[in-house]
Amino acid sequence: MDEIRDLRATMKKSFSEVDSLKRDLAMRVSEINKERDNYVNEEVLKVVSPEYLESNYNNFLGFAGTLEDFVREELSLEQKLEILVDYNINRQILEGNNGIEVKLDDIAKRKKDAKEQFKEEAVEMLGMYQTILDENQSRISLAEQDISTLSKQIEAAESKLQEIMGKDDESIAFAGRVSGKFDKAQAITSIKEQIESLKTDLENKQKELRELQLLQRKYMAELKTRKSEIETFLKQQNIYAFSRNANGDSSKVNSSENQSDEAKNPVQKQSEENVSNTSNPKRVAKSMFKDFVEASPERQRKLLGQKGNEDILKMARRLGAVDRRRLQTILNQRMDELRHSEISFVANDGTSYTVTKNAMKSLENIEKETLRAMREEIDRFNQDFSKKSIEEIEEFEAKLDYIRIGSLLSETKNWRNKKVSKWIFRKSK
Amino acid sequence: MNEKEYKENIKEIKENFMRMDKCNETLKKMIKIEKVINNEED
Repeated sequence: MDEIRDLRATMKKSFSEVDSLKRDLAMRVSEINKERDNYVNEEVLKVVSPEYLESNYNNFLGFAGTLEDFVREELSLEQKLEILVDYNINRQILEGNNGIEVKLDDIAKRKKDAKEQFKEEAVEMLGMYQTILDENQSRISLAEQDISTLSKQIEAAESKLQEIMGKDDESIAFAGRVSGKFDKAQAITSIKEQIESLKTDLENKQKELRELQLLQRKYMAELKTRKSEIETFLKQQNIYAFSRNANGDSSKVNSSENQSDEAKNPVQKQSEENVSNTSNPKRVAKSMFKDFVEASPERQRKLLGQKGNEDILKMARRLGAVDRRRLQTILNQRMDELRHSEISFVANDGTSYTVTKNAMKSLENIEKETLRAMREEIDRFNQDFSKKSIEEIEEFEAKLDYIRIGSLLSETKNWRNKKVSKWIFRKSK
Repeated sequence: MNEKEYKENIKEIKENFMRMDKCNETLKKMIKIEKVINNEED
């Protein structure tokens, strides 16, 4: 009996201990859940924007509290995790292939800044050019006046010569009484010499003036050509550096980039209408892709360079599986057309890594050291861009074609047909 | 305008041509670079 009693007591004690452990465990689980919730809330709040919540959660607009309250109180854990998954896919794409996309993005940003700088510097330089041209025009007018005065002097001298030659002896005698020294023959010789000298001077100056006028016209035409080239180039980038007057001359500098509706080209207008007329990003992507597919191979190559990978990737992400495969085919073709079968990248330590064109189609399989060299070369070029010669820029841009297309191919290759939410986050990094 | 002033004026015009030449060449180079970095060059 005693044994049974002891056993009961032991069991009671054990049950009590288990209960205590259960309570501790429940408390710990509760603490862990709280920590997890706090962590998830903080991570979501770092990345989510009001626009994202508006687009994805109908109850956000009517919610009276702050964005933080909404995230903490209204969203379930699953919903919060879904936001983080969306954000991480976006980030993964941006940082894909060990940061190659980020580097390409750096280049796109540098180019955008450079474009604005180019506009400012070009407008300033054109202004200087115009000022010098105007000043020269005034100076040439002065030279023309001087030559005109010289012509009049010659006419006056010739008139005087005729006058003296036509005078009779009586007049000369009268003149002689006045001056006492007048000698008709000597006067004629002297005036003739003066006229000859003036004519020689006039001839030389007229010749010189013709040359100057010719040069002035040449520089005027050059200025017009440069202005037109700059205007056309900037217009292609949707930057308007000049305003037009009633005659259609683009003479004055317009600091604003916001062009009037009339100034926009038809493609640009259509494109904006497409965007404003539809809130369906897939339809916009489809329309962009249609334009891309219908462009010539050369134009496609230029578009790839001009648009930047981020825009192409955004478009590609909204395409269906068939269009995405078509995009892959086009990208493969554009890569095949590039001139060199191998390209080299130099790391900061001077080591050179050579990659074949085919290998560039699968950046994800390229060795890390080579990718590092790629990133380092892009960084070096970006840092020293202002010191580069045109030839160096051309060489680098040619190399970039391989990286751009390679990166696009790798990024788009493995996408699944995941439903894509609206990609509006507070920060991309 | 006397002869000295005339010569000064012509000298200044010629120097201005040199300045315009520099402006023109700089603009050409700037346009070329922009075209290269924006894939506008053939």
